[in-house]
Parts: sequence; structure tokens; C-alpha cells
Amino acid sequence: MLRGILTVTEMTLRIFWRDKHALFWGIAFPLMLMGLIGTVFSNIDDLVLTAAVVVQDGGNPLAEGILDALRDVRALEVVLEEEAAALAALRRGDRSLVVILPGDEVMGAAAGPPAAARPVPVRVYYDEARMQVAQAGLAIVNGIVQEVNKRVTGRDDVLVVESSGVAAEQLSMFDFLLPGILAMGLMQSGLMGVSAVITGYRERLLLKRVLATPFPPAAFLAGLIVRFALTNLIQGLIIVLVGVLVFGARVVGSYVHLFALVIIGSVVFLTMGFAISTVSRTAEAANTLGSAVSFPMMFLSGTFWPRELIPESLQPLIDVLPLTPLVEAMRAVATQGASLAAHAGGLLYLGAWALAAGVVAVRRFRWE
Amino acid sequence: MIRVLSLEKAYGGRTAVKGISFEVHAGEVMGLLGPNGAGKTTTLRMLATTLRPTRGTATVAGYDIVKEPLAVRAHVGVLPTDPGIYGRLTAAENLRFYGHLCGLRGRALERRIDELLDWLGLAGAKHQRAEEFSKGMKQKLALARAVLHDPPVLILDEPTAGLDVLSARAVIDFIRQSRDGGRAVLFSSHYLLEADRVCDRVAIIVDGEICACGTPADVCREAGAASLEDAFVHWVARRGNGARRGVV
Repeated sequence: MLRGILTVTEMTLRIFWRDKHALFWGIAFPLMLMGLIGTVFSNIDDLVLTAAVVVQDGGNPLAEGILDALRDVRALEVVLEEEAAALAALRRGDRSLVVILPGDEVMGAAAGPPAAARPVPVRVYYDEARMQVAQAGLAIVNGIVQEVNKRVTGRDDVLVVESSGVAAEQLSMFDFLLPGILAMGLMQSGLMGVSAVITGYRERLLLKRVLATPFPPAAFLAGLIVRFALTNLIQGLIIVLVGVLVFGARVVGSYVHLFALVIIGSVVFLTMGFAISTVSRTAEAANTLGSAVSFPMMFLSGTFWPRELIPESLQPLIDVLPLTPLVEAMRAVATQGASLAAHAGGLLYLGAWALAAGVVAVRRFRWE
Repeated sequence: MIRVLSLEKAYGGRTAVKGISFEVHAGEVMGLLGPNGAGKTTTLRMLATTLRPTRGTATVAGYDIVKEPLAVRAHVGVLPTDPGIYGRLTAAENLRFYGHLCGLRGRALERRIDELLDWLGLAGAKHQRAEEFSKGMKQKLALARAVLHDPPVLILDEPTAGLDVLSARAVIDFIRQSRDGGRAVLFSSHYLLEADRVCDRVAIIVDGEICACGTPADVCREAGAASLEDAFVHWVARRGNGARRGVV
């Protein structure tokens, strides 16, 4: 029996390595995704905003002071422009914001008694389509204007914020992405790979051929399961190696725990893939159904970005998706050095999914 | 080698095979002839143990198809309508895989693979991937797979369907050689001329029942027909008026 299982495993592995389509989606695609997303977002901590500054009436000491303060901000690249040209550039997306410094009327306001002063506006224009960038720029300008106000009025603050950053490790975008991509690869392998292969074998009557031999059918299925588990491990190894050696991602925690999660994830999504194969008549239908199930998870379960960025109304849905606890556990191990025990609840939940899918697969599986 | 007794298969409200009985002996080729939907493939699948009968019994190579399916499969070579070849494996790899499934290994298996590929004219394509094969080559590879474990019984479902003349002739020659080697061969076909040439006996099955059974000459005589094709048409037409069951 064991020999037979190994025979089936060896044969199906051979077929896999000769299938360029499967190799692309199983290995190349997750790496491409990791490279693209990681590269695009890798400079998020070094974000520089381009601010157009308009100096009115030839300038004044207060305006000059604000301008100097803006120039001192590392995250701002200051460009002096006329108002019309600056606003046109903002609309084109060439500027992050436009700051119109106050004219000579601000000197009069600053000279008069504070109680009688009407605030002189420092007008700031921003692109509403890029709110995150705008908010960062507005925060900078607000801070500078508050400081200038304090100096002009001579008032000391009663309260002041003292901030300190807390991080166990410095994380890069690739550190964040690696566990997500790893989990995503396992999910796709199961939901789309396994389901399509099994359904394809059934469609091409290859499963039925096995029934005509003296070979135990259960051993054939066991050989397929071993094959998929092996290819998932190899896929995981390649993703981790490339992530660490090429993209510079770091795995803080135990590699043993990480690959234990690869095995757990394999089992869960393999059984789900088998379950999908029982309700699909063709390989194409299996692929479509697998995609329909996996795509929402890919974007909601924290694969590419923190789930906190997703609206509150979708959070309950995210909680029930099976990919979510796998991503969370893998990320915790990889970026915080957490143990598997710390995510026992999530892993039990994954086990429940595997059990439910297994019951469906066993009861509904057909050889033709 | 094959003994069928009142074999029946019902799907829900429809009975595809209605209590048929016949025998196929060692060193004999029997053709199962009938129109589409007559029950030929259902009968062959039951004997190959890939379909469980509703009623009746049959033995293949002395083993009961219901009680001893694994033993039956070890003694029968099956060629279904769809050859079911793994396209990404080479001819040799396909045969090696099925050889392993049948419990064959090592040098004995490799020798057998070379022998069969040579016999069927596929020696030059031994290391070629099956997805590059023509239909005729795939059929020959499937035939090689069917006899890989040297079974005493062959069950072939429309073995020459869709093949060109040369490939079909190669398959017919293979059937003759298998018969001459002492195998019992049961095959289904739509090609009556071919059945007439190669079969020792034929059974005409219509609507799940055997209408006539015997040598081609006997079947023609019984129908008062000059050819097997005419006899076939005669029995199919009679079936509408109530046909007798042929029992051997």
C-alpha cells in the first residue's frame, strides 16, 4: 500500500513539474505579487510630499518664518509657485498640496492686541482623491502654524504631547507581506489547484481508470494528497527563500513553527479543494468556484494589508474566513516570534473547517 | 472465462440491461453488437467491476464480479471508450505507472513495456509525451496498458472507434493475436464488417436484451440475412415487436 501511494505521488509530481500553467500559478505568481506589492509600498516610510508654496505681496517676516519652517520638514519638498500654476499642478497630481502664505495683512494682525485679532488664514489646498497624503500634509502645516501662533501671541501651552514609538522589531513591507503571500499560496493551491486537478481527472475518466485496476482506490487518493502536501511545502520553501534572500524579508520567529503552519494550512485547504471537486462537473467549473471562494479571502484576510484598513462593517465577515487565522498565525510567528500555542484558538477554528470540508468530500466524492 | 447469468442494471426508473446471459471461452473472440444505448457499455463496465449490477451474477476468470472485484481486476484487461492516458507522461511512463498499480515492478516490468511497445509499433515513441500522440497511437498505448499484466480476459469497448484504416487493422490484428494466445476477448463495436471478420461469436443486444447469439453465420441464418449487417437490422426491427432472449 505504501509503495503504491509513493508511486502515485511520484507520478503526479512528475505531471505537476511538467505543467507550466500549474508552476506559474503555484510559484511564480505569488512571488511576482510579493515583489510588485512590496516594491510599490516599500518606500511608504520615506514618503515625501511636494508642497507648492505661494508667497503673496512679495513676502513678509511671518510668511518667511512659515516658509522656513516648511523647508525644514524632511517629508516636504517645497516649490515656490504662483497660485494659478500651483493649483493647476495640484489638479494634475504633480503637487500634494498648495500652501498660500498670508500677505501683509498678517503683520497688522500680529501687531494688534491678541484679544481683538481676527485670524488670518493660511490657505491650504489639497487633492480630495488622495486623502491619506492630504491629511499627512495638513497635519504638518497645522503643526507649523500652531507653533508660529504660539510665538506671535507669546502664550505657553498648558498641555503638550510627548510621543514615543514602540515596536518589538523594525518591520519592512516585505516582512509584513511574506506570511500573507505564503498563506495565500496555500489557499490557491488547495481551492483552485486541487479542485481543478481532481475534477479534471474525473472529467477525463482518469479516476475511473484506477477503479479498473487491482489498486486500492483509497491509496490513489492518499498518493494525491501526499503529492499536494509536498508541492505546498516546496512552494512554501521557495517563497520563504526568495522572500528572505531576494526581497530581504526577515522571519523573527521559528521556521519550524512557520512550516508547521504551512502543513496545517495545506491540510485545511486541500480538504476544501477536495470538497469543491465534489460539486464541480468540469475542471473549469472547479477553477471558477475555487476562485470565487478564494478571491474575497485574498483581499479581506490581511494578506496584503492590515485588516484594520478594511471597513468596520466587513470585520465580522473577515472573522469567519478560514484564511484569516492562518495569516494572523503566520504573521505573528514571522514578525513577532509568537508560538503556535498563542494562536491555538485560530488553529482549532481551522481544524473545524478541515473537518467540515472533509466530511463533505468523503460523502460526496465520486470516481466518475 | 466469462460467464454471465441474468445480469441486470437499473438506473432509477430505467433498466439499461435486462437480465442477460452469455459466455465467452478462452481462445475466443465474442462481439457485443447493438445500437447506441442498447446496454453494451453498461454490460462491459459491470464485467470490468467498475459498475455494480442491480441483479444477477457473473464470473470473470473464475472470480465473482460482485464478491471478488479486486481478483477480477487482476485478471482482466480493460480498454474503455476513452483511453484515459496521462498526456504529460511519456508512453513508457504511462505503462510503468499502470504496471505499478497492477503490482508489476523492476526489470520484468521494463521488459514487458518494451515488448508491448514493440509489438504495437510504438517503440519509437517510447519517450514521447502521450499528449503528442495521434488518436491511433493513444489507442494502441491504451491496448498495451490493458495487457500489461498479461490478463487472461480482455474487455474492449469499441476499440476501433474513430481510428483510421491502418490503426483499426492494427487493433483487429491485436485482438486476433490475443485470441490465438488463449485469451478470452469480449468487445463491443458498431462496425459490423469488422465484427464479422474477427469474431468467433456475436451477441446482438437491443434495448438491454440479447436478441441473438451465436457464430456470425448462425445469427445470419436465424435472421434469414445475407450479412451480419442485415441480420443486425432484422433483429433491431424485430425488437419493436417483442424479441426473444438469446441464451448460451
